[in-house]
Amino acid sequence: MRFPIMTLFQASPFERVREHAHNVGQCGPLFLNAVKSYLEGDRNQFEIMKEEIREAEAACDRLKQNVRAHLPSSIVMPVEKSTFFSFLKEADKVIDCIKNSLYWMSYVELSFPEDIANDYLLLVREVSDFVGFLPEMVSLAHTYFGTRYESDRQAIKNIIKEIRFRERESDELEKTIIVRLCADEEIPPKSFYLMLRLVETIGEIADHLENAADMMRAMIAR
Amino acid sequence: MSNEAFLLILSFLGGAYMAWNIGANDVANSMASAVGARAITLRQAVIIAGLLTFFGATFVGSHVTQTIRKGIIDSAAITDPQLALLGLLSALLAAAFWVFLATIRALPVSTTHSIVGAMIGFGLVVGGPSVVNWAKLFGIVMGWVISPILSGITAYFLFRAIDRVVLARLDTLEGAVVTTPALIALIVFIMTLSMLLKTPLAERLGVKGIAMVLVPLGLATGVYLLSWVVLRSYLPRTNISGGEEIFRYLQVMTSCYVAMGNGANDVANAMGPLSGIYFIFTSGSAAQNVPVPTFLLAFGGLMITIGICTWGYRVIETVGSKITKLTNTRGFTVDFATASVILAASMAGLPVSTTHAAVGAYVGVGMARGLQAIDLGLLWRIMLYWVITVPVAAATCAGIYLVLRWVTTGS
Repeated sequence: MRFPIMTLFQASPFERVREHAHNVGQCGPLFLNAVKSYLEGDRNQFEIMKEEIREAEAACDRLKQNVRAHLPSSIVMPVEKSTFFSFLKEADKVIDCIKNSLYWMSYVELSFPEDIANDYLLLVREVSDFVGFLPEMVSLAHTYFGTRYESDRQAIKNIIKEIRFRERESDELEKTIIVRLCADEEIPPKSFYLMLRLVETIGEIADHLENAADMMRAMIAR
Repeated sequence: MSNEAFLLILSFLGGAYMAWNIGANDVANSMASAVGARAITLRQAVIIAGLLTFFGATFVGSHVTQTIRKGIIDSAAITDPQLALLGLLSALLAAAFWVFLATIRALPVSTTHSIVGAMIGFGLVVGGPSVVNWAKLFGIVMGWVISPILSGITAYFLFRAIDRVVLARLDTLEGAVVTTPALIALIVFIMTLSMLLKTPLAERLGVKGIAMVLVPLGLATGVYLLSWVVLRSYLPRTNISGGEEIFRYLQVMTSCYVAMGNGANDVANAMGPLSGIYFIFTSGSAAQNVPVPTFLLAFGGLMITIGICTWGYRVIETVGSKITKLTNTRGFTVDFATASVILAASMAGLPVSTTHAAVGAYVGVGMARGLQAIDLGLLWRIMLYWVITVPVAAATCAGIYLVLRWVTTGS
């Protein structure tokens, strides 16, 4: 029975990436709820959410290492290995930044001025919604590398376009918040520094997701 | 019972056992992908594979059978027919044991390699290195190297073409409708041409000279037009992403084509030595040029078919369910490349391995970015099994030969 011929087909590397992306995507709503709890002063709920995201991030790290460890050096893939790894790295940085932003918030009880708090929540909502594109994009890529249908490729390209558009929007929002923070003379310096880092870190979530989308674009290029 | 009668019965049993092993194993190469892609049912696969393998073995296989039998061992150098007979029988048994062992251990060895290795073992023991036709062996070894490379290249370009013409369209159905008649015509042309060239079929049908090419060409054109009309007129155009569906039917065709190629090539592994033994019995001498009796090819084909019906279906079922990830376009590409290389090698008189050609085709599709991942490390390990097959079969054959000689002659 010539099974070894058939095992020449390794489990698709995108299969595990799909799991990774799913974990990242799940953190979007969690992140939004954690920030809401924080702004409402429910510190307990915030800590629970933060812990859940920390666990999800650890799981993503394990999955990332697993994908890398299970690719033999001799494997032939439909995409360049370096691009594939860069994509994975960028996708993983998305969840890293989500976790880091919650850590920035947990160091000190930050009291945001009301207008900035509203903009901040808007940015978080935008980004957490935006993170949901990652699992969708990976899932479509997994299908595309199985079928190579042009229709599947077009669907990925549409998501990439949407990610780029959303990144620009969140960039604008990030700049607006920074301008408001700079204009507010009453924020204490420590809080100002932490808020600035926080907003920048949330902006990085969108940047990394856009980088991941760029890598995906390179992988699906004909 | 006399020694001769005992040896003849043993030889027929050995040949039958070897042919049964081929049926039990190699059928998976042709039909598993079609069953896995649900193009045909298991029962249909067994019936189709059985019939076509029998047909391929009986009508296309004669040329290769001769090559194996007289090409690798110089029977003129082995003057004692009794020893030649024992050697051929040992080769048959050694190869059959090795293939059977490989079946149980799930090792991907080639029946072709096994029989060639066993023949070499016999040649070395009986007459020393001079008996082995090293030049011929080199040609065959080159065939082993060339067949995966050729099938790989064929699969690579074919998949690239399908990718560009069919899969890269938004309307894959239209792409499939455009390409399918040409692909069907190509399959029909190659199949008919290979059947007519160097097979007894052309002689029986009285096809000679330029007609050898014109008949397949005419048939291919007819099939092209027919399939074009059928696809344009009767195919419902409701599902624009239905390209793969059409390739499902093409895959059945190529699976049939592989099954026939399998029969044509692999029957030599069992019937080559047996026809040598049979000639020694009927003529009393070991000669260089003997016609291969058609009844032996038919016997080989029948035993392969029995192998398919008794064990082969299990292999198809298991392997088929393991490779469901292979879509119809990829399955078609692998089958087509494998079959073309096997039939071409068969016509050139080289006993190439189906397994080799199939592996080459898988790698070709993978290289054309058609598979999500292919493990070349595993490929090297499979190749290692191929390499050890020849010395192992040679050593086993030498051992069996010495035992048989001691039993029959006491020396």
